[in-house]
Amino acid sequence: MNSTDSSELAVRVEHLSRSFRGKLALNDVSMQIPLGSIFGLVGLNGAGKTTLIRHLIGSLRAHSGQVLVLGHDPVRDPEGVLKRVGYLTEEDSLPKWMQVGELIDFSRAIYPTWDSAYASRLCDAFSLSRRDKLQSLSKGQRARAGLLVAIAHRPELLILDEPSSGLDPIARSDILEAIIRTVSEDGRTVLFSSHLLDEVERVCDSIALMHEGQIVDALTSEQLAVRYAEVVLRPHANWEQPPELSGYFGWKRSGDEWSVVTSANHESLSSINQHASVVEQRAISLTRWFEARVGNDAERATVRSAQEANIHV
Amino acid sequence: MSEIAALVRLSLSRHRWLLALMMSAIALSTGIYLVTSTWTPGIRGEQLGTVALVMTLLSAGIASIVLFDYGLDQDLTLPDSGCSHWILRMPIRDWKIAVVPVVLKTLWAGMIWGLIVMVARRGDDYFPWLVPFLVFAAILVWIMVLSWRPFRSVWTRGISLLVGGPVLYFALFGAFAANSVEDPDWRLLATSASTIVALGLYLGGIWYLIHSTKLARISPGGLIPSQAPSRAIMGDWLRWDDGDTVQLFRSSKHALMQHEWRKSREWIARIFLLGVIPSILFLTFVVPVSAFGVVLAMVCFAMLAGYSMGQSSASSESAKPLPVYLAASPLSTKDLAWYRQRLPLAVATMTYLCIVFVIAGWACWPSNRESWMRWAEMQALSLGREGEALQVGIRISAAMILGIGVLSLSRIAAFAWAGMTGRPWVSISAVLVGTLLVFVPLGFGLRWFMGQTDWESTQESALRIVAMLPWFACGALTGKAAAAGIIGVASVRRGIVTPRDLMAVTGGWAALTVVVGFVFYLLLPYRFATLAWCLSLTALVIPLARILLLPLALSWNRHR
Repeated sequence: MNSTDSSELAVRVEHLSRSFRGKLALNDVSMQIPLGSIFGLVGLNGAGKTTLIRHLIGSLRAHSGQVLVLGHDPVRDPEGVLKRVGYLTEEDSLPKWMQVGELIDFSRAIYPTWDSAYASRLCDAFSLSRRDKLQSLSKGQRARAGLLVAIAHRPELLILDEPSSGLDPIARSDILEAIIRTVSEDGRTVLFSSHLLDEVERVCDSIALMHEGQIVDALTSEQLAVRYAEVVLRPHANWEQPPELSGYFGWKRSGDEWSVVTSANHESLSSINQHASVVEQRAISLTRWFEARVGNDAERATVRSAQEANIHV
Repeated sequence: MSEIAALVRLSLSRHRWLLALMMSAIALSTGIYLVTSTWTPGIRGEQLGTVALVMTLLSAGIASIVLFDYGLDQDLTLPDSGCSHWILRMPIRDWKIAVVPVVLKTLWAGMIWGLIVMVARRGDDYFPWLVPFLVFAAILVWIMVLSWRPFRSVWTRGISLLVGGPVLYFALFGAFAANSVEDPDWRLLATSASTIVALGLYLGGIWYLIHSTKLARISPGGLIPSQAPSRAIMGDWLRWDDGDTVQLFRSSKHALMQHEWRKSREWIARIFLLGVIPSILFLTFVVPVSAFGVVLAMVCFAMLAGYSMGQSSASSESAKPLPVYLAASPLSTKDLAWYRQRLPLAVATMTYLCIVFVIAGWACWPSNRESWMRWAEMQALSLGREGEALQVGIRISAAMILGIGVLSLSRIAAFAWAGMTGRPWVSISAVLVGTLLVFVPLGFGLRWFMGQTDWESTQESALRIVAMLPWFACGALTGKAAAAGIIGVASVRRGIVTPRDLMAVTGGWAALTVVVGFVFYLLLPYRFATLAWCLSLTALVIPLARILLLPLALSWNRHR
């Protein structure tokens, strides 16, 4: 990623690596999130997204590399960083023994920038009552309560770690609306980690793809449309396996047709014309790009392990 | 694999490390016992082997409460079934789920009791085998019943334990007592009756366990976590100040302390209702004043204080990662470490101080007052102050209560850091090391004492040791100061605390030490209890380095 002046960055991660019991979870990750952007972090389960985010909130100490959030080290100065950060996680981590009112009162006391009027508005908007006990709320309602706590102090950086996993469409919509409102009203920065690529595509202006502990690609929404395209082909002969052509990746079969991702400005469609006729060339969706980037590795790994086990694929 | 084989495998693997540890310990101590009893019969070696084996078997007996049960991962203070909910959802017949751990526990109980009987019978003592074994197995089965059965109210589980405990105890007592009946006919009758009762308890337990398993699978209170009515009533009553009232806290520290109070108050109420008040009533109305009664009261209240500390919000999360909502909050690590410990320590102190009600209760009985007065007169006589028995008695009694209180509360506070690291291995290691540090010197002391042949030389040796105590105290205090210094510097360097915080904590510790030490000096009527002696001992007992260590330990937990 391009280096930017540190004062313009909400997050700066340099060569961060982390292992757990010998298993590499993060491998030399470098990342920058500019102030005021909505940054999407996507990747398969176990790609290292949550590990990276836990470094950002200081729950994990950087064993090698450096992490700066809003210009400060979140381990060295947790109070200074965390009072400016809102954090919502997929985990049901709120204290369930509390009532919503108790949670709000507690949060008001610990966040110096708490906006009580905004908290009341959010409470009404999310249909939360102060008397509701968190234990008795549904998962969606608890996620809303967590979101309220994460944004009511108007954080400079909002970190959402797969906040909408397993939630109903209305709760997911509430979370997306909150992100949009946070950014549009306050011009804050949002780091949004999610599996739900349509949501990421809808709200994020920059996206980083994590795979096996590394950021394998990072681009803006515009760059995605400009750099990549999807081509639909009909082979001249029946293919068991697609041909290996440079610049083409993420092959996917659908009946007689194959779809492949290529660089949008790739001029050598002629190279593929020898093997197949082009049915359609279209703009790529985030989901297709994601599948193409991480699916290939997964497929290759499956083929490799199958070959090792002498199984014909 | 058949269902039963799969369940057996699961039961064995559920606590495989504990099982392996116990098996190894039993094998080792049995080996030691056999070697010592064969090669060195009748001398100390054999006694050592016997003690090692009996202690191991006792530990194995306690461990059998947990072993082979695939449940016990549920919170038994909730009314839900304590059996693994995952197993309850499996398409396996009720009896198979229930019987597999019962059979394994029975075999385990048989092995333990068999070894105990083997040891006892080598000493030519008669020791019944069958009935105590059945009662032991029945106890294990009924513990499973009470754990697995879902209850509408969690109080029912507690009351069942209180009722079931004495019933099983008397069954065990009957097994031993039957043999001592002299009349052969009555002995036969007593033995038969105790066998029938033991067998009935065992088989009845198995039947009821199967029934409980079925109940847990079909009852909403079994698989679906629910709120017990009585618990809800208590919870609602304790939440009288909640609702729509907005709480405005003066600072984040006040919010944190209020958070601790709100989270712990239900536990605190339970400890007072179920522990402290019954203990006061029991000790006042059942136990007369005697050396045993006083020790029992002090141990009981020290244990209640430790239990109340252990069940508080901060301590119940010990050896676990800090909750995310606190770890990701802008609360400082030092506040999280020090302020969260204040309430548990205050509750533990209050719990211990309730011993005053027992003393007041005892004082109401004329016979207790007479016993205490006789003891006070003896103390005054030994000090050569015959006319001041009342004063001497009060001073020594107050010093004993204060001493045990300070010692137990200090030990509780001193081990808080281990839990704060959020790592179970640190907690376990700290307890092991702490235990060794207490018992190894105690063992050496006892060994020395047992080796003495006459009273005069013992007194002379003791005086020589006492003369060396100031040097030991100086060494220990220097070590304590060095540890505090190292921890303080490390904490400041990491930016976790400021030098001002260190000064405040050290100042508080010094003030407390001086006050407590001076009170001891005023109370203890013995010649050796000089002011310097009292202050040194208090300074050694009240922890400083480990209190300073709390933020560092929590930082290790918060930033992993």
